[in-house]
Amino acid sequence: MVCEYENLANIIKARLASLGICPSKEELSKLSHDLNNLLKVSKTFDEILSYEEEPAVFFLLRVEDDGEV
Amino acid sequence: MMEKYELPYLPIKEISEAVKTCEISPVDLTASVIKRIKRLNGLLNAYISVFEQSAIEVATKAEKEIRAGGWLGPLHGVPIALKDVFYVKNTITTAGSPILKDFIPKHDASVVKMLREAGAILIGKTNLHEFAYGVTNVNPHFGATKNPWNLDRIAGGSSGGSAAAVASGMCFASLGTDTGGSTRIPAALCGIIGFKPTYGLVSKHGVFPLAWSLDHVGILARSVWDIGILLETIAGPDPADITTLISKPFEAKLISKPFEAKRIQNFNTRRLRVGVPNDKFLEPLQEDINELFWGSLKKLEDEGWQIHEIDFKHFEQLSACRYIILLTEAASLHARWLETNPELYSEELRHKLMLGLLVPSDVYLKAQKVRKVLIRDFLRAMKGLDIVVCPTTSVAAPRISEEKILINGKELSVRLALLRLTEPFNVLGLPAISIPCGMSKDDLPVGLQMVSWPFYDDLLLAAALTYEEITGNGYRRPPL
Repeated sequence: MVCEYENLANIIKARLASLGICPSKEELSKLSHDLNNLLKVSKTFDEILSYEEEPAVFFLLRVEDDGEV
Repeated sequence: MMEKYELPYLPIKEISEAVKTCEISPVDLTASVIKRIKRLNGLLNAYISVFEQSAIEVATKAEKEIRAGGWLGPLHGVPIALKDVFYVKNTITTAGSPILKDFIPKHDASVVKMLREAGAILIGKTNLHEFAYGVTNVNPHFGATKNPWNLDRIAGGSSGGSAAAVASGMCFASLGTDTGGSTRIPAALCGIIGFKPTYGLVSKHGVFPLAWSLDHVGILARSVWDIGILLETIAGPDPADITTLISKPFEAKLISKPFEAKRIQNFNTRRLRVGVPNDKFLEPLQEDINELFWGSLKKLEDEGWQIHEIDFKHFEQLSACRYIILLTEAASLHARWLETNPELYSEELRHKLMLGLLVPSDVYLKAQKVRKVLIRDFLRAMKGLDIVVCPTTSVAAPRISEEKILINGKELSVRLALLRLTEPFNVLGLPAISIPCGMSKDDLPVGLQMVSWPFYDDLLLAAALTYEEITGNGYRRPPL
């Protein structure tokens, strides 16, 4: 495993173990690499994002005839 | 008089007139499609299940109704296929995975119900990429769907079975789904038309999800008109799918009979203002696709369409945004099976799902925030334009075994070469269509993609119809 991902790999292992998932050593290595890339990519979002922005997730409230929401 | 051997290839527009006037019997029509499935499905692997008995029963009923003067509309008595993610009551829905091999929904998907009410004949469930999570349709559990134009090539995915079935005359149209291009990509690779409506126009209730906020129901057919007929049938608000409730104001405009497919003729599409993304987004493109694309635009320009470059800088962020949303939403759906049945996933899918479980919540939410900004900026960039146009895929159908592909000296994964031009429009939720644009040097179909404004699906179809007329490009029969 590449040294720079070692901490990340430990976190990944613990997180997946908490969900009852045990990745192999190879899977863990690939996951560390891909997650590292993904986190880097997500940093590019900061260039176009302001703090006021809300996420594009919404819901509508509906009340059924029987009062159920 | 229509020749019987031609029946499975005819567009719904022609077939429905002949069914209405009793020139063609729905039973004969269904039998001709079943015969074709029996001949070709072994080659193409397009269907997972075929409803032979129930299809003939429904066709017999339709025939009686039509003879008694009870014609319901253009889909009455017409065989339609469904990607195997649509719930059909009391029928197995696998989503292309052994995990759901015994899953029998207790109700129809809303769109399936609408098709039944329109008198359509459900002919069978089509093959797909495992859980619709991929674009090649090389499914390790159900086998790869082959391209009707070349059996060594992929049909594309994830609605590849639907595209191969429509292209080869094994149904008249099919419903698919589209989370990053899964309707448009296989349509382009198989030489048919694939359409993804505006997010929220068509109900997804009873459709096995991949990623809720990116998923769309799609339509695959052999003509733009046929797409319109299907859209008219399945579009509109559905109380069972909250995302469709925003489509209400558009109901009168779009669904009020005629969207009736006649409506798409009402737009003046002879002077359309067309945006084309810059080279940074378009490249790399396979050389012959580049030539066919610009050749088509030239014909449109000669007819009066105005071509402009669209000024939008954030296509890369759109791709990153979709990737993060897709990974996270899909993983949250599959977490329970990943724990109990990890061996039932392909290695590739298991990896993607595990990766999705690791995305921090703030990163997912940030992606959804960025999405709002990108939608706003893209619509600003579209100001003054009617549609945006680009090729559907960077390459024609790759070989089944191919994983990497070289385009103009640049190596790309097959996945990226197929979806990088379609995925932005799932993040944006805009209506998009892929239409045939000619044949590559290897004699494989090439697709052109058109995109329009939210809930201007009718304008988009009108533009596509005019494109078909001006360029002469459209569905061609594969050599089968």
